[in-house]
Amino acid sequence: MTDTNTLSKIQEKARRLLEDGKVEVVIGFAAGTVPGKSTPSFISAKEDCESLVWDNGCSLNLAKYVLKEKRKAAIIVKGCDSRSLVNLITENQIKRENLYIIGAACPLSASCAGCQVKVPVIYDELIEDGSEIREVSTIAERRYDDVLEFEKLSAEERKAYVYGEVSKCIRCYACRNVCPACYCKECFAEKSLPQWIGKTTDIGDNLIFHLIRALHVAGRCVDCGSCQRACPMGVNLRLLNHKLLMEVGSLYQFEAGLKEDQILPLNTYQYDDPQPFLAKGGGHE
Amino acid sequence: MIYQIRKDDFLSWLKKQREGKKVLVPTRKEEGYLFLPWVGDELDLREYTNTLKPVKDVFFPQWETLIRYRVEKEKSGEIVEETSRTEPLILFGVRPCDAKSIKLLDNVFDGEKYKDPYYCQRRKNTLIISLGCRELGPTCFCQNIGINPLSSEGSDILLVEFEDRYLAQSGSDTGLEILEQAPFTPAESKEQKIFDELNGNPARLNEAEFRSLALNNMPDFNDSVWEKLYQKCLNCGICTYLCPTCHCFDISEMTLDSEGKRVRSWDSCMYSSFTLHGSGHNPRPTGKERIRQRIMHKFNYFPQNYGVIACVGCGRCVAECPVNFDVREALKLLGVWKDDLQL
Ligand code: SF4
Ligand code: SF4
Ligand code: SF4
Ligand code: SF4
Repeated sequence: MTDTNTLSKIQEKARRLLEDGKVEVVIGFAAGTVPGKSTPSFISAKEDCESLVWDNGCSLNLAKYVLKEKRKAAIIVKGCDSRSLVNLITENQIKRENLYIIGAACPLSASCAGCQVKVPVIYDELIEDGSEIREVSTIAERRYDDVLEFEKLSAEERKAYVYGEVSKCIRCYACRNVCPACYCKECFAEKSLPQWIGKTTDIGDNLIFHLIRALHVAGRCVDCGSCQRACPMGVNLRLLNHKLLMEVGSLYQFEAGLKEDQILPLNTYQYDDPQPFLAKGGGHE
Repeated sequence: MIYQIRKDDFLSWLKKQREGKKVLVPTRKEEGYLFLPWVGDELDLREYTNTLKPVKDVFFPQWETLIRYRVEKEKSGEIVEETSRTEPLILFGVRPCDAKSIKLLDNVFDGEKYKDPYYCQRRKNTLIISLGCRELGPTCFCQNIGINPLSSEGSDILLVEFEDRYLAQSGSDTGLEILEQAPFTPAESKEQKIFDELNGNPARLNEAEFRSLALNNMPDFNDSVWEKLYQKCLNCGICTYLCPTCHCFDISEMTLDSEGKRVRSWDSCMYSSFTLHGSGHNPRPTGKERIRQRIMHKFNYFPQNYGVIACVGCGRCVAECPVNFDVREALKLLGVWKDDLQL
């Protein structure tokens, strides 16, 4: 929980930005209608800033909305939202100067396991509440317990687990649509001319969807957890995300969304890139 | 006429039905309750308010093969119709809102103009035993839109839990035939009275009243109010896929070499690919038009076409939306929700 002081500072900042005409809209959260869920709110009248909340229900990654926003906007971000913004800036999807970023420490009472970036990494104004601000250089390479446990299982057990998870999926694409890293105008999952994957929830089609989704966000996923929270069927999406975070970490010593000048390893290519899968000799045994 | 049956007797009866019929019951899974084949073990309905996925899945599955085909060199193509794979089925524990949703879907798939053979076959083969709601779930709003949580509409048999018994009412001739035989017995006048009391005026607004509100008060297609609604929506498929009344589908071909199949799968008006033309033009280019479509279809077009609102107030869309888009709030903003009703 955050203290009311943080919230009133956020509201005050939002109100001033609208009043001074610095922005036309403030993207934040308002109280929801379902227990435990706050709801994204787009505020353009300064009187409405009082409806802003900053609480346990603010788990969604708001960076997604910046992609569509055409007005001059301010956005209220926690750690992971700010990291997604960094990604979107480095990938030329949004312009930093069009955005006013109000940063505040993550208000979730139970933060995600292993989260090291509760306080935003970029902001125009940081609402300080005494939370520890991590220097990027002190962020340790990720070791995810769920992956380490999973890796101990036998091949059959791993297959059974993944099949079990993936077969729950109803292909509603909420995991894709909440994710700020998923912004393709045309997604392979919905392409029809030609069709890339079948529109069934057969295990084959579901597996392909899940593997491609995970691979497409590899090196860009900031582990905000929005995809998993959005999933109505309780599919464990984070396991695959975590595995790829670990791979990207060990192959490229890279973690997404920390610095505005970082180069995304999977978006670049150099002739002498190591190719470990070929180095082993390539081909089939 | 009200009937009754002791719970134990009912379970033994249901167990017996498993000879020759498949019985689906609400089964507790990690993610929520789902209708799954019953193996005859003890039913765990302690926290059952409704299933995560609506019951439409049984009649109008998320995807199914319509036909298969084969093309051989120097021969004309051969079409193999998909043979029916339906089997006699009993659904136990359907909630009255979902039972009503099947009645609504009948208008579309078993209507006067069109009959969908796959759907109709499954309908004919299925007995629906619903379980009335003595208590409403946190996001249920059936009563606010004129639906009675103890109604037998759309069910063959409605059961209402009462101490060690179920009180039972038929919703169809098939249901009545079953209730007229042992182990069901006619309820005594005392039980009859209890049932009537439970059933007395549970809807706070009648359906006709709500329908006329929706038909008369719905803002114009081009009203600026639609602008206010859509901003937070992410255009995923949750609210439509989990909705018991949504029924849009897509047809696609899945081919491999010389063989293929034509598949029908659920589609969602919330997707950006919905109504995308081959030319690349989309008459519903943004979330605004899509939310408008979703609301208008349920609360305006459907009642215009079939005389009944296409929402049963199950609240799944409210409970599961990742951004808490609440259809009740939307209706309130649109002037279609009665003011004196609290959210
Ligand atoms: S893949 Fe999931 S955890 Fe990663 S950035 Fe996207 S929504 Fe967040
Ligand atoms: S949100 Fe869940 S059910 Fe929907 S597509 Fe993603 S994994 Fe599947
Ligand atoms: S209203 Fe909610 S559930 Fe429906 S498409 Fe929008 S975000 Fe998804
Ligand atoms: S619109 Fe929402 S509340 Fe109404 S029937 Fe569909 S899922 Fe249920």
